[in-house]
Amino acid sequence: MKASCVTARRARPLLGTLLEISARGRRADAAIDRAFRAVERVHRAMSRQEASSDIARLRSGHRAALDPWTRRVLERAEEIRQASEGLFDCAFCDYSLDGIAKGFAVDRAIDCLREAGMVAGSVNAGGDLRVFGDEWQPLHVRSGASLIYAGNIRDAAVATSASAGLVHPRVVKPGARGVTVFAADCMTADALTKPCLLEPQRADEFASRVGAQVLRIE
Amino acid sequence: MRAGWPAFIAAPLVVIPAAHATTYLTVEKAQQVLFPGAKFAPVELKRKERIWRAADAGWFVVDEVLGKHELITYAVGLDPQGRVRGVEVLDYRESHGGEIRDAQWRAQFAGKTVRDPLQLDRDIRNISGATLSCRHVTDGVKRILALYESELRNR
Repeated sequence: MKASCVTARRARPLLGTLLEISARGRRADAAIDRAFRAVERVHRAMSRQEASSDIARLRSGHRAALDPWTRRVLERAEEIRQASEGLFDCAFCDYSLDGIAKGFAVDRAIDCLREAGMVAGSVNAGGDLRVFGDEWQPLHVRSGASLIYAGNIRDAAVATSASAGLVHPRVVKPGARGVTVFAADCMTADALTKPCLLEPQRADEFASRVGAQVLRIE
Repeated sequence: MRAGWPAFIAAPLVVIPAAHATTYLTVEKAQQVLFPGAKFAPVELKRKERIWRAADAGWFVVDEVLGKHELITYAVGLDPQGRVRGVEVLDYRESHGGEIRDAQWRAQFAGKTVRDPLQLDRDIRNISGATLSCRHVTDGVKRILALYESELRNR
Protein backbone atom coordinates (compact mmCIF):
# COMPACT_ATOMS: atom_id res chain seq x y z
CA MET A 1 0.00 0.00 0.00
CA LYS A 2 1.25 3.47 -0.80
CA ALA A 3 2.03 5.69 2.12
CA SER A 4 -0.57 8.16 0.90
CA CYS A 5 -3.33 5.54 0.92
CA VAL A 6 -5.14 5.95 4.22
CA THR A 7 -8.28 4.67 5.88
CA ALA A 8 -10.58 7.27 7.37
CA ARG A 9 -13.83 6.78 9.21
CA ARG A 10 -16.24 9.55 10.15
CA ALA A 11 -19.78 9.92 11.47
CA ARG A 12 -22.31 12.71 11.52
CA PRO A 13 -25.91 12.98 12.68
CA LEU A 14 -27.86 12.82 9.40
CA LEU A 15 -31.11 11.30 8.12
CA GLY A 16 -32.27 10.90 11.71
CA THR A 17 -29.43 8.54 12.54
CA LEU A 18 -25.68 8.43 12.93
CA LEU A 19 -24.38 8.22 9.42
CA GLU A 20 -21.01 6.49 9.28
CA ILE A 21 -18.72 6.61 6.26
CA SER A 22 -15.37 4.91 5.93
CA ALA A 23 -13.02 4.98 2.99
CA ARG A 24 -9.60 3.70 2.04
CA GLY A 25 -7.58 5.51 -0.60
CA ARG A 26 -5.69 8.70 -1.32
CA ARG A 27 -7.26 11.79 0.22
CA ALA A 28 -9.88 9.67 1.94
CA ASP A 29 -11.07 12.55 4.12
CA ALA A 30 -11.87 14.71 1.11
CA ALA A 31 -13.79 11.80 -0.45
CA ILE A 32 -15.78 11.37 2.75
CA ASP A 33 -16.61 15.10 2.79
CA ARG A 34 -18.06 14.74 -0.73
CA ALA A 35 -20.03 11.68 0.31
CA PHE A 36 -21.52 13.55 3.29
CA ARG A 37 -22.55 16.38 0.94
CA ALA A 38 -24.39 13.88 -1.29
CA VAL A 39 -26.27 12.56 1.74
CA GLU A 40 -27.13 16.13 2.76
CA ARG A 41 -28.58 16.70 -0.72
CA VAL A 42 -30.81 13.65 -0.31
CA HIS A 43 -31.78 14.85 3.16
CA ARG A 44 -32.76 18.31 1.86
CA ALA A 45 -34.72 16.92 -1.08
CA MET A 46 -36.51 14.02 0.57
CA SER A 47 -36.88 14.73 4.26
CA ARG A 48 -40.40 14.95 5.64
CA GLN A 49 -39.18 17.50 8.13
CA GLU A 50 -37.84 20.00 5.61
CA ALA A 51 -40.65 22.34 4.55
CA SER A 52 -38.86 23.15 1.29
CA SER A 53 -38.27 19.50 0.36
CA ASP A 54 -39.61 17.65 -2.67
CA ILE A 55 -42.00 15.83 -0.36
CA ALA A 56 -43.87 19.09 0.17
CA ARG A 57 -43.93 19.60 -3.63
CA LEU A 58 -45.25 16.09 -4.26
CA ARG A 59 -48.03 16.55 -1.73
CA SER A 60 -49.17 19.67 -3.53
CA GLY A 61 -48.96 17.92 -6.92
CA HIS A 62 -45.96 19.87 -8.25
CA ARG A 63 -43.63 17.48 -10.01
CA ALA A 64 -41.91 19.96 -12.32
CA ALA A 65 -39.30 21.27 -9.88
CA LEU A 66 -38.24 17.97 -8.37
CA ASP A 67 -34.59 17.17 -7.80
CA PRO A 68 -33.61 14.58 -10.47
CA TRP A 69 -32.56 12.33 -7.57
CA THR A 70 -36.12 12.42 -6.21
CA ARG A 71 -37.37 11.30 -9.63
CA ARG A 72 -35.00 8.33 -9.54
CA VAL A 73 -36.28 7.35 -6.12
CA LEU A 74 -39.91 7.68 -7.25
CA GLU A 75 -39.23 5.48 -10.29
CA ARG A 76 -37.62 2.76 -8.23
CA ALA A 77 -40.36 3.06 -5.60
CA GLU A 78 -42.92 2.36 -8.32
CA GLU A 79 -40.99 -0.73 -9.50
CA ILE A 80 -40.86 -2.02 -5.95
CA ARG A 81 -44.54 -1.23 -5.43
CA GLN A 82 -45.28 -3.47 -8.40
CA ALA A 83 -42.87 -6.20 -7.31
CA SER A 84 -44.51 -6.23 -3.86
CA GLU A 85 -48.05 -6.08 -5.28
CA GLY A 86 -48.75 -2.76 -3.58
CA LEU A 87 -47.32 -3.55 -0.15
CA PHE A 88 -44.61 -0.94 -0.63
CA ASP A 89 -46.45 2.24 -1.51
CA CYS A 90 -45.09 5.75 -0.96
CA ALA A 91 -48.33 7.42 -2.06
CA PHE A 92 -50.14 5.54 0.69
CA CYS A 93 -47.78 7.14 3.21
CA ASP A 94 -48.51 10.66 1.92
CA TYR A 95 -45.43 10.56 -0.32
CA SER A 96 -43.09 9.94 2.54
CA LEU A 97 -39.91 8.51 1.02
CA ASP A 98 -38.56 7.53 4.43
CA GLY A 99 -38.69 3.85 3.53
CA ILE A 100 -36.42 4.18 0.52
CA ALA A 101 -34.54 7.52 0.56
CA LYS A 102 -32.09 6.42 3.24
CA GLY A 103 -30.97 3.51 1.09
CA PHE A 104 -30.71 5.84 -1.90
CA ALA A 105 -28.55 8.23 0.15
CA VAL A 106 -26.22 5.35 1.02
CA ASP A 107 -25.91 4.50 -2.68
CA ARG A 108 -25.07 8.10 -3.63
CA ALA A 109 -22.45 8.29 -0.88
CA ILE A 110 -20.89 5.07 -2.18
CA ASP A 111 -20.84 6.58 -5.71
CA CYS A 112 -18.92 9.58 -4.36
CA LEU A 113 -16.31 7.36 -2.73
CA ARG A 114 -15.84 5.35 -5.93
CA GLU A 115 -15.67 8.47 -8.11
CA ALA A 116 -13.02 9.88 -5.76
CA GLY A 117 -10.91 6.78 -6.50
CA MET A 118 -11.26 5.05 -3.14
CA VAL A 119 -10.21 1.39 -3.22
CA ALA A 120 -12.67 0.38 -0.51
CA GLY A 121 -15.39 1.92 1.56
CA SER A 122 -18.55 1.53 3.54
CA VAL A 123 -21.56 3.66 4.36
CA ASN A 124 -23.95 2.83 7.21
CA ALA A 125 -27.10 4.88 7.78
CA GLY A 126 -28.43 3.33 10.97
CA GLY A 127 -28.67 -0.13 9.55
CA ASP A 128 -28.98 0.50 5.85
CA LEU A 129 -25.46 -0.17 4.75
CA ARG A 130 -23.33 -0.86 1.72
CA VAL A 131 -19.71 -1.88 1.33
CA PHE A 132 -17.37 -2.03 -1.65
CA GLY A 133 -13.79 -3.10 -2.27
CA ASP A 134 -11.83 -6.34 -2.17
CA GLU A 135 -12.01 -6.86 1.57
CA TRP A 136 -14.45 -9.28 3.18
CA GLN A 137 -16.10 -7.44 6.04
CA PRO A 138 -18.04 -8.85 9.00
CA LEU A 139 -21.75 -8.14 9.12
CA HIS A 140 -23.75 -7.91 12.34
CA VAL A 141 -27.51 -7.65 12.58
CA ARG A 142 -29.12 -6.00 15.58
CA SER A 143 -31.93 -7.98 17.17
CA GLY A 144 -33.30 -6.65 20.44
CA ALA A 145 -30.42 -6.49 22.90
CA SER A 146 -28.21 -8.82 20.90
CA LEU A 147 -26.03 -8.56 17.89
CA ILE A 148 -26.13 -11.44 15.47
CA TYR A 149 -22.94 -12.13 13.58
CA ALA A 150 -24.32 -12.87 10.15
CA GLY A 151 -21.22 -13.70 8.13
CA ASN A 152 -18.90 -11.68 5.95
CA ILE A 153 -19.88 -9.50 3.02
CA ARG A 154 -18.12 -7.92 0.08
CA ASP A 155 -19.58 -5.51 -2.48
CA ALA A 156 -23.04 -5.81 -0.97
CA ALA A 157 -25.94 -3.69 0.20
CA VAL A 158 -27.87 -4.70 3.32
CA ALA A 159 -30.93 -3.29 5.08
CA THR A 160 -32.65 -4.49 8.23
CA SER A 161 -36.07 -3.48 9.52
CA ALA A 162 -37.86 -4.49 12.67
CA SER A 163 -41.61 -4.93 12.61
CA ALA A 164 -42.32 -2.59 15.53
CA GLY A 165 -44.41 0.31 14.33
CA LEU A 166 -44.96 -0.92 10.80
CA VAL A 167 -48.60 -0.82 9.73
CA HIS A 168 -50.47 -1.45 6.51
CA PRO A 169 -54.23 -1.67 5.88
CA ARG A 170 -53.92 -5.07 4.20
CA VAL A 171 -51.92 -6.69 6.98
CA VAL A 172 -53.21 -7.12 10.53
CA LYS A 173 -49.96 -8.15 12.17
CA PRO A 174 -46.53 -8.51 10.59
CA GLY A 175 -45.42 -12.11 10.56
CA ALA A 176 -41.74 -11.63 11.37
CA ARG A 177 -39.89 -9.70 14.07
CA GLY A 178 -37.46 -8.41 11.56
CA VAL A 179 -35.97 -8.99 8.15
CA THR A 180 -32.60 -8.38 6.60
CA VAL A 181 -32.50 -7.85 2.84
CA PHE A 182 -29.44 -8.17 0.62
CA ALA A 183 -29.42 -6.49 -2.78
CA ALA A 184 -27.06 -5.00 -5.34
CA ASP A 185 -28.00 -1.49 -4.21
CA CYS A 186 -29.11 -0.14 -0.86
CA MET A 187 -32.21 1.65 -2.17
CA THR A 188 -33.65 -1.72 -3.22
CA ALA A 189 -32.65 -3.41 0.03
CA ASP A 190 -34.13 -0.58 2.12
CA ALA A 191 -37.47 -0.49 0.30
CA LEU A 192 -37.87 -4.25 0.19
CA THR A 193 -37.64 -4.73 3.95
CA LYS A 194 -41.17 -3.35 4.38
CA PRO A 195 -43.18 -5.73 2.16
CA CYS A 196 -41.03 -8.63 3.38
CA LEU A 197 -41.90 -7.79 6.99
CA LEU A 198 -45.58 -7.44 6.20
CA GLU A 199 -45.84 -10.75 4.37
CA PRO A 200 -42.77 -12.79 5.31
CA GLN A 201 -44.16 -15.97 3.76
CA ARG A 202 -43.96 -14.24 0.38
CA ALA A 203 -40.68 -12.40 1.00
CA ASP A 204 -38.60 -14.65 -1.26
CA GLU A 205 -41.05 -14.12 -4.09
CA PHE A 206 -40.95 -10.32 -3.78
CA ALA A 207 -37.18 -10.33 -3.42
CA SER A 208 -36.52 -12.52 -6.46
CA ARG A 209 -38.41 -10.03 -8.65
CA VAL A 210 -35.88 -7.28 -7.90
CA GLY A 211 -32.77 -9.45 -7.62
CA ALA A 212 -32.60 -9.44 -3.82
CA GLN A 213 -32.42 -12.01 -1.06
CA VAL A 214 -34.12 -12.03 2.35
CA LEU A 215 -33.30 -13.34 5.81
CA ARG A 216 -36.05 -13.49 8.40
CA ILE A 217 -35.24 -12.74 12.03
CA GLU A 218 -37.62 -14.87 14.07
CA MET B 1 -29.97 -7.62 -11.57
CA ARG B 2 -27.11 -5.29 -12.32
CA ALA B 3 -24.27 -6.61 -10.20
CA GLY B 4 -23.22 -10.02 -9.01
CA TRP B 5 -25.05 -11.58 -6.10
CA PRO B 6 -23.86 -10.12 -2.79
CA ALA B 7 -21.67 -12.78 -1.35
CA PHE B 8 -22.46 -14.10 2.09
CA ILE B 9 -20.89 -16.87 4.13
CA ALA B 10 -21.15 -18.82 7.33
CA ALA B 11 -18.70 -18.80 10.25
CA PRO B 12 -18.36 -20.66 13.57
CA LEU B 13 -20.40 -19.85 16.65
CA VAL B 14 -18.99 -17.23 18.94
CA VAL B 15 -20.33 -15.49 22.02
CA ILE B 16 -18.57 -12.33 23.16
CA PRO B 17 -19.99 -9.28 24.95
CA ALA B 18 -21.82 -7.00 22.59
CA ALA B 19 -19.96 -3.81 23.28
CA HIS B 20 -17.94 -1.83 20.86
CA ALA B 21 -16.19 1.46 20.60
CA THR B 22 -15.20 3.49 17.61
CA THR B 23 -12.99 6.53 17.50
CA TYR B 24 -13.72 8.57 14.40
CA LEU B 25 -11.71 11.71 15.03
CA THR B 26 -9.39 13.09 17.68
CA VAL B 27 -10.18 16.56 19.02
CA GLU B 28 -7.32 18.02 16.98
CA LYS B 29 -8.44 16.29 13.78
CA ALA B 30 -12.04 17.40 14.26
CA GLN B 31 -10.85 20.99 14.75
CA GLN B 32 -9.09 20.81 11.39
CA VAL B 33 -12.12 19.24 9.71
CA LEU B 34 -14.46 21.99 10.94
CA PHE B 35 -11.97 24.89 10.79
CA PRO B 36 -9.25 23.98 8.27
CA GLY B 37 -5.93 25.58 9.10
CA ALA B 38 -7.23 27.44 12.17
CA LYS B 39 -5.49 27.79 15.53
CA PHE B 40 -7.42 27.24 18.76
CA ALA B 41 -7.30 28.64 22.29
CA PRO B 42 -9.04 26.73 25.09
CA VAL B 43 -11.68 28.61 27.08
CA GLU B 44 -12.19 27.68 30.76
CA LEU B 45 -15.81 27.95 31.83
CA LYS B 46 -16.14 25.29 34.58
CA ARG B 47 -18.65 23.34 32.54
CA LYS B 48 -18.74 19.75 31.39
CA GLU B 49 -18.30 20.80 27.77
CA ARG B 50 -14.80 21.49 26.52
CA ILE B 51 -14.66 24.79 24.65
CA TRP B 52 -12.13 26.38 22.31
CA ARG B 53 -12.11 29.66 20.49
CA ALA B 54 -10.98 29.49 16.87
CA ALA B 55 -8.66 32.11 15.44
CA ASP B 56 -11.46 33.36 13.15
CA ALA B 57 -13.64 34.01 16.25
CA GLY B 58 -15.70 30.89 15.77
CA TRP B 59 -16.18 28.33 18.54
CA PHE B 60 -15.39 24.65 18.85
CA VAL B 61 -17.22 22.70 21.56
CA VAL B 62 -16.78 19.05 22.57
CA ASP B 63 -19.57 17.41 24.53
CA GLU B 64 -20.86 13.94 25.41
CA VAL B 65 -24.37 12.53 25.28
CA LEU B 66 -25.54 9.37 26.97
CA GLY B 67 -28.25 7.33 25.32
CA LYS B 68 -29.88 4.11 26.46
CA HIS B 69 -26.98 1.96 25.34
CA GLU B 70 -24.49 4.39 23.95
CA LEU B 71 -22.12 7.17 24.88
CA ILE B 72 -21.32 9.58 22.09
CA THR B 73 -18.63 12.25 22.13
CA TYR B 74 -19.22 14.84 19.47
CA ALA B 75 -17.90 18.21 18.38
CA VAL B 76 -19.80 21.25 17.19
CA GLY B 77 -18.26 24.08 15.24
CA LEU B 78 -19.97 27.47 15.51
CA ASP B 79 -19.19 30.37 13.17
CA PRO B 80 -18.55 33.85 14.66
CA GLN B 81 -22.30 34.57 14.47
CA GLY B 82 -23.12 31.48 16.51
CA ARG B 83 -24.46 29.39 13.62
CA VAL B 84 -23.68 25.70 13.39
CA ARG B 85 -20.82 25.18 10.98
CA GLY B 86 -20.72 21.42 11.35
CA VAL B 87 -21.14 18.49 13.70
CA GLU B 88 -18.72 15.56 13.83
CA VAL B 89 -18.82 12.47 16.01
CA LEU B 90 -15.50 11.87 17.77
CA ASP B 91 -16.17 8.68 19.75
CA TYR B 92 -18.97 6.23 19.90
CA ARG B 93 -19.24 3.55 22.60
CA GLU B 94 -22.08 1.10 22.63
CA SER B 95 -22.91 -1.53 25.22
CA HIS B 96 -25.92 -3.79 25.15
CA GLY B 97 -25.16 -5.98 28.11
CA GLY B 98 -26.14 -8.64 25.67
CA GLU B 99 -24.09 -10.89 23.52
CA ILE B 100 -23.20 -11.65 19.99
CA ARG B 101 -25.18 -14.57 18.76
CA ASP B 102 -24.55 -16.70 15.80
CA ALA B 103 -27.12 -16.38 13.05
CA GLN B 104 -29.45 -19.33 13.41
CA TRP B 105 -31.11 -18.33 10.21
CA ARG B 106 -27.88 -18.72 8.38
CA ALA B 107 -29.27 -22.10 7.44
CA GLN B 108 -31.53 -20.18 5.10
CA PHE B 109 -28.42 -19.63 3.04
CA ALA B 110 -27.81 -23.30 2.45
CA GLY B 111 -26.90 -23.70 -1.17
CA LYS B 112 -26.61 -19.98 -1.69
CA THR B 113 -23.22 -19.25 -0.18
CA VAL B 114 -20.40 -18.43 -2.47
CA ARG B 115 -17.25 -18.68 -0.38
CA ASP B 116 -15.66 -20.93 2.17
CA PRO B 117 -15.96 -19.76 5.77
CA LEU B 118 -13.37 -17.25 6.88
CA GLN B 119 -11.99 -16.89 10.33
CA LEU B 120 -14.28 -14.69 12.36
CA ASP B 121 -13.23 -11.12 12.36
CA ARG B 122 -13.89 -9.86 15.89
CA ASP B 123 -13.90 -6.28 14.76
CA ILE B 124 -17.53 -5.23 15.11
CA ARG B 125 -18.36 -3.26 12.03
CA ASN B 126 -21.30 -3.04 9.67
CA ILE B 127 -24.14 -3.32 12.14
CA SER B 128 -27.45 -3.51 10.33
CA GLY B 129 -30.78 -2.84 11.96
CA ALA B 130 -32.73 -1.15 14.74
CA THR B 131 -32.00 2.38 13.76
CA LEU B 132 -29.77 4.11 16.16
CA SER B 133 -31.29 7.46 16.95
CA CYS B 134 -29.23 10.60 16.68
CA ARG B 135 -31.79 12.43 18.81
CA HIS B 136 -29.39 12.74 21.75
CA VAL B 137 -26.81 14.38 19.53
CA THR B 138 -29.29 16.79 17.96
CA ASP B 139 -30.60 17.66 21.45
CA GLY B 140 -26.99 18.19 22.52
CA VAL B 141 -26.38 20.58 19.63
CA LYS B 142 -29.41 22.61 20.78
CA ARG B 143 -27.93 22.80 24.28
CA ILE B 144 -24.66 24.05 22.83
CA LEU B 145 -26.51 26.76 20.90
CA ALA B 146 -28.12 27.81 24.21
CA LEU B 147 -24.68 27.75 25.82
CA TYR B 148 -23.46 30.08 23.06
CA GLU B 149 -26.31 32.53 23.75
CA SER B 150 -25.78 32.54 27.52
CA GLU B 151 -22.01 32.28 27.86
CA LEU B 152 -20.10 32.73 24.62
CA ARG B 153 -21.85 35.33 22.52
CA ASN B 154 -20.63 38.33 24.54
CA ARG B 155 -17.15 37.15 25.33
